Amino acid sequence: MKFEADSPRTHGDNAVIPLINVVFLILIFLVITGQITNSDVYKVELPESVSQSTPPDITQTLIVNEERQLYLNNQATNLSELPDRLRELDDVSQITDIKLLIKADAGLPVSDLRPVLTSLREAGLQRVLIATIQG
Amino acid sequence: MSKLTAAFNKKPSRVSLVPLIDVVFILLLFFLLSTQLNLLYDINVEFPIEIHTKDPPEIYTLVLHDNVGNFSYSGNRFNADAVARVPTFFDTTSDSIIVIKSDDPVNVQGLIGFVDRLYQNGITNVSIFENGQ
Repeated sequence: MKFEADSPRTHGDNAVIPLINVVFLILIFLVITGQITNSDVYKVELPESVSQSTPPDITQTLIVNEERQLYLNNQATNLSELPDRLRELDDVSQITDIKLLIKADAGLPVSDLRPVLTSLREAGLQRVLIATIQG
Repeated sequence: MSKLTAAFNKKPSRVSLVPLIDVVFILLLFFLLSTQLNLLYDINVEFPIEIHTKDPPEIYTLVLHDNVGNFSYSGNRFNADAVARVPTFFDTTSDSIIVIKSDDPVNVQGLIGFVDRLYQNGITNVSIFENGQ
């Protein structure tokens, strides 16, 4: 009985197949679990929390960085402009309908966050969410 | 003639997998760079805090003194571990609102940590004191 040895080329291709399988699995995992999002114009270090609830359909985001700069939906703003900017949002019929997620820097003094909350309340918001990450 | 024989004897050409691997790796890199796993920012981020309520029946105020979690209630100072006793301070079954006032040293992390501990002890109707409240 005569066995033909595999050619070196065939053997090389077979060795690559497990690699391709793994890469495809990673690709499928990323496609399914990943979410393409607009990255924030300013990265803040979010406070840690054990809260595991997820925000429902958040469409508006307000970033408050450690330098007390404000970014509403990634556009720079300030305290005096903030109420008007909220009212001008296209996809909101009433300001009380706004679901606003505040991404405040973990190191920001609460005394600096307080004027922002006051401005939001005066604008008509009755509820806000503060973004955290799981600690 | 010998060339023709050689052509017939030649094994059929195989489709090379190398371009496929290239494309897959490029796709993989694209997704790795452009996607954010939900775990980083969107999952576990909700922290609802009422900043304005109309005519709440009762308002109880806790004063948070530092980022450790030391606080005061009704003029009595408590350490951070006493958060577990907060539900005994007042009637939490009613529609009461617990307002947290923060002293100057407290930062957002300290406040969220304190609210977190209140949540863990069953107090969820929490509000943050702001100037006009």
